[in-house]
Amino acid sequence: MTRDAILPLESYRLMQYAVPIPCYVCEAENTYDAEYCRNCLAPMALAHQANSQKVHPRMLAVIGGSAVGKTVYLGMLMDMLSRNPEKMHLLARGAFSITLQQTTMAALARCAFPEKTANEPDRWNWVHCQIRWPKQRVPMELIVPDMAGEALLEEVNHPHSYRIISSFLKKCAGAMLLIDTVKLKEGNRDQDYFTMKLVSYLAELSDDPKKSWSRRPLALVFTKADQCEDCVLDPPGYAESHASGLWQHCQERFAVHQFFAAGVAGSCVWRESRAHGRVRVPLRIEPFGIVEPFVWLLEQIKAQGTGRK
Amino acid sequence: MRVMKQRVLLWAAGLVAMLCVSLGWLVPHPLVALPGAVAIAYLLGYFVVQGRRSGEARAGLRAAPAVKPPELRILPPPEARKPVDPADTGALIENMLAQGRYALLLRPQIAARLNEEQFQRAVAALEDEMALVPDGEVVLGQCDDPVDENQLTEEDLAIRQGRVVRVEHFFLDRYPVTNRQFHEFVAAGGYQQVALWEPSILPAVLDFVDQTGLPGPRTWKKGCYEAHLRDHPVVGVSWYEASAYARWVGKRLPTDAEWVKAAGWPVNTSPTMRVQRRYPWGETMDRARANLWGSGPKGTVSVTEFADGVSVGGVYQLVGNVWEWTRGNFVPPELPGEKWLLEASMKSIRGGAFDTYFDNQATCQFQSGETAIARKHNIGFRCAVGICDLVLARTADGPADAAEDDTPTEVGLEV
Repeated sequence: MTRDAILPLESYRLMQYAVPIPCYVCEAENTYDAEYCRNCLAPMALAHQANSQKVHPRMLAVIGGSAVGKTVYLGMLMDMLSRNPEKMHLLARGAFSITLQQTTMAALARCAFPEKTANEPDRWNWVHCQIRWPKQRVPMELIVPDMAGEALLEEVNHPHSYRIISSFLKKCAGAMLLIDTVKLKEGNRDQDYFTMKLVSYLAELSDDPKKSWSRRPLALVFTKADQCEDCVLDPPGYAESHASGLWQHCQERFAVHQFFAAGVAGSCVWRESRAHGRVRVPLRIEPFGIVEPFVWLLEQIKAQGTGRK
Repeated sequence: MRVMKQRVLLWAAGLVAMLCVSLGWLVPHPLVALPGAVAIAYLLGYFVVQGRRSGEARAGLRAAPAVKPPELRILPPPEARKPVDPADTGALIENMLAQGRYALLLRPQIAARLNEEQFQRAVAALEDEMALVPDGEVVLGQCDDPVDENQLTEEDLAIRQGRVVRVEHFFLDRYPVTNRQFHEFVAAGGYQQVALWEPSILPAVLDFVDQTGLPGPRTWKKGCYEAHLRDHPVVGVSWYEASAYARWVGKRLPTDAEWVKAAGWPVNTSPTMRVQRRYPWGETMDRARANLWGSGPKGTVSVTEFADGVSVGGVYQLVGNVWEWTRGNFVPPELPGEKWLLEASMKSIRGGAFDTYFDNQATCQFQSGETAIARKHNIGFRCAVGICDLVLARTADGPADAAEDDTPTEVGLEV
């Protein structure tokens, strides 16, 4: 009797197992119980969610060098939009989408920056959210991952070393490229070179001129701008004078781009400890310019009507 | 270039149309009629398109929201007082009362020169503008953040519990110093009075200018504030400018202990136990009582707003609106094995501002720091004065004795 009851269940499971589920990012076929895509390591929860809820979210990239502030920016943006629904309201889809917001806010509230994002794609935090506007009925579904800066650098220098990055960026409707203002202010040219590399990588990602990045919107955000008043007053002017290579690149290769300035910490100092070594810590949290680039980007995406899967 | 081309085409089409119409009467032939018809069609098409465009432009103008240009009215300097004859003590005293320098007039060294009416007016101004905070003990440096205390060592716990500091009776400004009040200082030449400034900072005073290069807070223009910001707290001033203003009015910046005492209003329930508030109004954050991120205004507001957040002693906006410079240095609590590497001398700021995001960074206990010469858009200040530094009652023989003054520099009767 017991065997009779188990066999149909097992066969049902086997049948399900035989139906491949495509990864939402790279479209490689996976089994239904896979947690991460076997090809690109993107979480399969995205694909399951898209299938079960019959939604096809657009993808948005937040990219930039290591320690430029991607995690802080994204976590802060999510928290601000979910707390204050004045311009638009963000609703996280799935518990996994709240992890980034939770860890970032917990760190900032105790005057610390969150830990560095691991290079392994299966340890990245992914955000699937719904954006609602006050006067619009149809919300926009978005997927935004918090990618590691070092992984991005590796992929840019050695293409195909991180398949997830190229697959994801090919499908993105737009991107936010973060640039470290403090390093630019200090005269560190590495920041300019790396950002140029990223921009160049994006521009050459697609062979199809209709899908090329030259028409997709690109928001260039100077992070940590609280440390530089000139940058806050005139972000494009600051880009032209301090990151001329990047500025020229954008003028030539991206039809829809805009420079912004953003900051999260009111003031920062260094703290040395046995456990963590020398780390920069914020003395207070006073976000500014966080929502504006995101709003601009979504308006451009809506106007273009691109990025739908 | 494009416009020129279009005009030439228009003229040509007009000419051809006229010629063909005139010739058409004489020679009715298709070769004459065809160019004329084309030219007329071009002209008609042009005027129809132009008409549509101008209609759309008008509609666009109607649809566009009426954007009111930001008010950039700069106040002329009528608030600058007329020069007073230094020999005329009575006029000098009147001028100082009008400038809000009543605390300086009540200093033991000066109070004797005041007649009874002037003395009473100075005392009344003090009572109106400042709140009396009683003496007592206050806990400073207590960490409010929830942590697993089982994981902390005894040393960590001791640091997190803070330290007890005793403060004497003092008066604290009920409101942060406003643009209008600070303008009195600027107009009276406060930036040029060497005695008000610390000698080490004198070379930097030349750099304390507004957006037009005149002495004044960083956010001002042409030596004055925007008209609608008259009663907003003054911001864009360094710690040194705040200290100089405080000296000019006969006060000083409050110490950290004094600031926390006025905000937390500790009450001793037994010799070892005390109850100290987390926020001036109680234990729970209420964004309707303080101007913080998410409260609504998104900028500074008048110092009299958010009256529900007033402290027990009647002090407004201790939490929210603008951070406030205090007299002390920024000394973060160092846990064992930790060392803070401060790049420059940092001064303590307290209270949070309109853009402070987290509740736990806008408590009475929370301390942040900023370099002393920073002139930030969200840092202002208020002043304090020890009760022992003032003469508040007169005896038959003259002013009552006051205790030794701890204010570093004493300023005499100056215009």
